[in-house]
Amino acid sequence: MSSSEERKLILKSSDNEEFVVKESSAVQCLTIKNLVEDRCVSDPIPLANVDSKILALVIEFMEKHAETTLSNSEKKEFDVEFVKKPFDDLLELILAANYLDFRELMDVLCNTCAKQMENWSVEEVREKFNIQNDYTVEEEKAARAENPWAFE
Amino acid sequence: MGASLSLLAENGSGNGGPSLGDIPESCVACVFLYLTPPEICNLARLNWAFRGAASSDAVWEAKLPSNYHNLLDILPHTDGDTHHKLSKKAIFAILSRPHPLDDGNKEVWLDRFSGRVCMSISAKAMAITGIEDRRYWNWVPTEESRFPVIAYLQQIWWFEVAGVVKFPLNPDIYTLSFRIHLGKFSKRLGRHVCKFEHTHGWGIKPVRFELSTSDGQQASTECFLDDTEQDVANGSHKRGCWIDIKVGEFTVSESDPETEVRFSMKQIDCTHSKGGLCVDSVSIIPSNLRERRRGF
Repeated sequence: MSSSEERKLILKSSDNEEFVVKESSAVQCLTIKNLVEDRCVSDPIPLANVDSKILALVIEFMEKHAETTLSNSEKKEFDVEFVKKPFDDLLELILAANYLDFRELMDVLCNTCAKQMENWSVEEVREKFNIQNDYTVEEEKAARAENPWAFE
Repeated sequence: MGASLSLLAENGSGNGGPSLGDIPESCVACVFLYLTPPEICNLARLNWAFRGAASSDAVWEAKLPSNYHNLLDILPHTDGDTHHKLSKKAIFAILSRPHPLDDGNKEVWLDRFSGRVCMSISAKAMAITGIEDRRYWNWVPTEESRFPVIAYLQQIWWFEVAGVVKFPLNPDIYTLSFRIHLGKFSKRLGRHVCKFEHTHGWGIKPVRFELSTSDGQQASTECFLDDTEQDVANGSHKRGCWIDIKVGEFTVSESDPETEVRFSMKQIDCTHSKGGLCVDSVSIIPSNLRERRRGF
């Protein structure tokens, strides 16, 4: 067993909590992988955009998906349970996955988000997710009229 | 959330927790990969970040079939020279409209929801035995088809309708169906009215439908076009409405540059005549069109 499999990294959340992870799991996040490959790893690695609650969840997902003993269907089963979280947590996880460039987590989260948004009207989505409408009246009209071909 | 200047702190709503509106455009684009084009266009109305994501080339490139460049080159009414100037969304919009081929005897389009390639072939493009004899067949103008005319059979003994199509279909699994109508129809006061004066002979022997591809795939089916006694007992009605009779499936794989498909329907038992049937078209549509979405 080579020593790189045992190499550990310390990740520090925005609220200063430290987490020890295996380097082999952590490099699923391309942001971290790039740091490792460029030998810019500080000790610990500060993640200013991710708080401890979310980082713990990211690490849980990361370690599960790094496990070579698990089959794809077992990982899928884990994913299904993993996304059963309040919507706010899912959004925060999306932001974290984006910041860390963690493709697998991003895909799972975005798919879940999309499933929840299917079939909702614009007004419903706005209401449920508290989205600020930054259009002027004219801009909104223009946006409505923009893609008639999609609704023919 | 910590004192650091994160994206959340800058744009976040006051009551802790982000809202979907704080999500950067790139993340929204990622969510859009899992939504259908009409859903994406609908959500473009939410705010500027959504509108931006809804126009992103990365999102629409994923919705287009892998061979969309070929489609743009082949289809008339699309200017091959300006392709590179168009956004991927504009390309999708163009290709999702039905495009005529072959003097308008065929139409090709992308399904709006899945981006998969669909095709319809008019009876005009098919070889119909006896079509030149007006005692047997007539071309009837109609509004109930993609095409301007359908073929109406008054009566014949040798019933054979066949066709072939060669087209660079996107790798996929396709279902081929014949669209037919028992009985002559017309519109009276806006309503679809049927006459069955010529309809006969279809309950005696079944019609045989076949398809084959140039790489050796084959499928066939047989069925009675008209209600048999059993159908009538079961309360099923084949008369008086357009029916799509599924012939079978074939697969187009990555390596096929162009697919050639032959198809036919026959009832050539000359001991009985048959008639009173409209033949509209053959459709080649990806199987399970609404079922395949990305995701779990």
